[in-house]
Amino acid sequence: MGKFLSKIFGKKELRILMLGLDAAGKTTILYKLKLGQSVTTIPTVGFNVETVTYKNIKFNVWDVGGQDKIRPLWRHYYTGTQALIFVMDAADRDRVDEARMELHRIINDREMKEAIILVFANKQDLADAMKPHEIQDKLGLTRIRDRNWYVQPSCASTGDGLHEGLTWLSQNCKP
Amino acid sequence: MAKVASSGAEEALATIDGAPRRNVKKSEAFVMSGDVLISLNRNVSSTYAKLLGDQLPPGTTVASSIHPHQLSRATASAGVSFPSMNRNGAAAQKLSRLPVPVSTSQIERRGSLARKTSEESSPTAIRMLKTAPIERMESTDVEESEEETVMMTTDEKENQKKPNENDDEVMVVDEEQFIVVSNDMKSPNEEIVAKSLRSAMFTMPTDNHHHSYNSSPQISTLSPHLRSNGDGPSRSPVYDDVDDDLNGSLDAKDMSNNSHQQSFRSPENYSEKDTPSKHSVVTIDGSGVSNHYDQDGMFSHVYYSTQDTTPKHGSPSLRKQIFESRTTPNTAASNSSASASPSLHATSESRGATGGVSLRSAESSNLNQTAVPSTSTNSVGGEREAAQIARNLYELKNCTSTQVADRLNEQNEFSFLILVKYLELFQFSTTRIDAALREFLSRVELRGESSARERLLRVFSARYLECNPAIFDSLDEVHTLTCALLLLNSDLHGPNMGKKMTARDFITNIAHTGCTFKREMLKTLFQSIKDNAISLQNSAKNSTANGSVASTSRRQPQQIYEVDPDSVVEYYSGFLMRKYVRETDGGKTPFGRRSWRMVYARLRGLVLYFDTDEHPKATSRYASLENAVSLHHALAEPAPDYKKKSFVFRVRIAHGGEILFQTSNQKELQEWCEKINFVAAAFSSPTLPLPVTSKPETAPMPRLPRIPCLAPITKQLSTHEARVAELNEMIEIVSQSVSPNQPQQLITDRWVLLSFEKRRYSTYINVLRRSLEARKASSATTMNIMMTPTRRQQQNQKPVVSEDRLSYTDAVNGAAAH
Repeated sequence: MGKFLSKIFGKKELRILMLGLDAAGKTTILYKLKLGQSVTTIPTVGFNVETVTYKNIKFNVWDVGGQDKIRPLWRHYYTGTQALIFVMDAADRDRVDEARMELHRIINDREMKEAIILVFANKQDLADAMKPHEIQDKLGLTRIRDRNWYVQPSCASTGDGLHEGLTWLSQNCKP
Repeated sequence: MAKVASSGAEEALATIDGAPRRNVKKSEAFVMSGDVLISLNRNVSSTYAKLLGDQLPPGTTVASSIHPHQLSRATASAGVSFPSMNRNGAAAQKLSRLPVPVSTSQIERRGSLARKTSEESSPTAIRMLKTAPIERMESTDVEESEEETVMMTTDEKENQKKPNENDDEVMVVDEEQFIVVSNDMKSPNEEIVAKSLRSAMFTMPTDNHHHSYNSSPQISTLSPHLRSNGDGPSRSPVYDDVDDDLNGSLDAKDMSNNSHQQSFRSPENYSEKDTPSKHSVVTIDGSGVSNHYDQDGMFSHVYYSTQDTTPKHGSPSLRKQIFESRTTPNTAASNSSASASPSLHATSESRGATGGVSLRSAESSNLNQTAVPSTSTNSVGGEREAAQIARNLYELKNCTSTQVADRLNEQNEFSFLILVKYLELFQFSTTRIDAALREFLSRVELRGESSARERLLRVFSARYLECNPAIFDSLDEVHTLTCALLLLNSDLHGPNMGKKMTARDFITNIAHTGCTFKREMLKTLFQSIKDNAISLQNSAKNSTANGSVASTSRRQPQQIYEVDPDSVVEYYSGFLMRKYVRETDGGKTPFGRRSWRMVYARLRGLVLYFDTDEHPKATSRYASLENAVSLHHALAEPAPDYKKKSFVFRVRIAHGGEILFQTSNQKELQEWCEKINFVAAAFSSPTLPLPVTSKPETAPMPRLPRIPCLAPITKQLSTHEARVAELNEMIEIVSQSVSPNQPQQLITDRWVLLSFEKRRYSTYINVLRRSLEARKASSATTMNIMMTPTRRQQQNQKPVVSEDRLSYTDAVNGAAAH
């Protein structure tokens, strides 16, 4: 009986990796999502790991980044990852190729075959920001087969678009 | 089971007792018959002896000649005396109660049979045989009494004295034979009963087992029932999802409504916590652009930190530093980027020269990256100053570990020099790498994204390799190991869900990087991190820094979301009758809140505030939040279809909300509609573009940002015109996609929604155009009336360098000149 009740009323937990280039807005997104939630008094020394609860679903988001040499250290968390949040600066047209290579490098990993892809086209409030249709072409999303992906325009500084992205994640992630 | 075993044992004992008795009976019978024959009858036919010669023992040849006769007569008497069987049966039942007398009478009767056999040779004997049944019937009671007498006296005496009694004894013997037969028949019955009892007893546990077997399936059937009940709630979300899939537009509405609620509620929670002032603060009149936000954030950060340092140090150099930090934002705001570059660079260098702690800013960081290194700085003097600064940073004087990290992360040559001097203060020789890492992180706090943290760790790795060149081969190895240790610390002691990393996982994970380390060293390091987490020192400074950082990060959103209503431009105000029709999330208003009420409405910025009268008292924050409506992307238009009252106009809020208002006359009605539409048209931010997805499903609702937009009116006008063109294209696509395959209702809903959007933006365009034309009019009265809110708006807006705005200002000034 206890098991059934916990399964019914317990929280759904999702393991998510957050990836993106420098200054794309990953930290801003994380802190914006945690706005209004309890903040730990003493932060843990190490790399960014945040637990965000949204609509009774607990998101555990790892901030993956750094040089290529230490990137393999995060492969330990690829196993069991259900979603990948890729944050890109929609106004930074010069580095969109770098972003595309970064995205495809991680989604082609054997352990990430089951993960769905959520792209935050961040900084949409800027005048020269690329639109989602343009981004899906430049990131090569149309060439991805058998994968579930979603490009959500967002403005992390104001919080617009972030909850829509999480809503899509909660609806499409396999528990 | 025990009872069954005991009963079985008892029956076995009974069987053992029965056997010797029967054997005794047989031997006694032979002895008696031998005596009788010897004493009375010697003429025996040899034929009978031959027939039964095998059955009888060879020693009693004489007796064997008589026995066949007994058998033949017994058979005949059995057939003839059938009516007497009932009586014999009754007698047998009585005799069965006394086993010992039965055996005695049997012996005597067999003797009497022998005598009877001798009498058969005469004709008289034959006659007696014919009348035997009658005699037997008459003498039944007599036989019973005689049997009792026989028991008391000796057998031989009776045989010699009374020859007549022999006949009675013969009959008795016959009865005994029948009795024996009946006894034999009964015993099997008893056995059968016993077996049935045994089987019944064996069946009892079987029945119990069967019952338990039945009950467990019942339990199992119950649990699936509970499961089905439990699965119900879990399935309903799936059902809801299906509904959402079927109604894409509704799903989009729900998403946008939910997000709207979320965005609306979070500032509420935030305001309740952090705003102690009595004045109610609700919504925004702040910077909607991220650049402005960043600037504001940086400015507030600088201001807060300088305040923090002021009480401690009042020296002139610090005052100068504060003045410089305060001046910097103005410099950045007023000067162009090209002209600001050298001055900012000089300012940065001068800050370094003064030995004070300067905070990093995005603009200065970006500019310094591209700046040419200055040749004016003396190399020797620079090194000395860098060493002094490094010493202060190392000892955490006038700064916290957070500020140390920010300073070391700066990207310019002087900061690099400070970094070199700073690292020279650490002595990691003969120190294990995890202990060295703890020492380093006790003075430098890791902040920001993973890449920023990784850079600091690389700096630490370089220093450690310099102090211990023999342990590791290359900088990459030290860097990889350092990052792996910190990742392990986050995994074991951070908010990680799922399984923690084990020593094997740790070693395997490091192997992915291609670097090879000794297994024993890795195990030792793993155990060290597991036992003692790498954490910040519990010093007062660190806690203060954390608190200040947290409060600073919290206050930044505060400036975005909360502005005192009194400081916002008021565009219109007056008494209105108000009636809620639909809630802000699109749902229908509950019955209790649907009545008409009189309110005093103030249109300030993008928010419509409601009070009870013209001079409201200072109400609580909750009441103000309850009595305010955000008008971003709203549309106000007269409501001629509402016929219960006159002079009514309808305001449709973003995401489906709807409110009815009543005025006292037509002029007021037109004025309210004009003002509300102007505010919505001038300050609503552009709609975010629609997301795209891999699945071909209906596009969701567009996202309508609630942050006001500070673009000039001409730019807003062009934005709205582009939106109208876009909406026209979408309407054509929807119209063309009408087909029997798709659900008709879905297309109709989407068409209605797009039509309303188009009408709203068309209204915006008309309102803005009328506003521009009114400003260009030559009438002095109209110019003064229309210019007043514009001037206030400009004063409240923060100055932003923009060509459009400059041209617009010139146009307005030109019009005013006319």
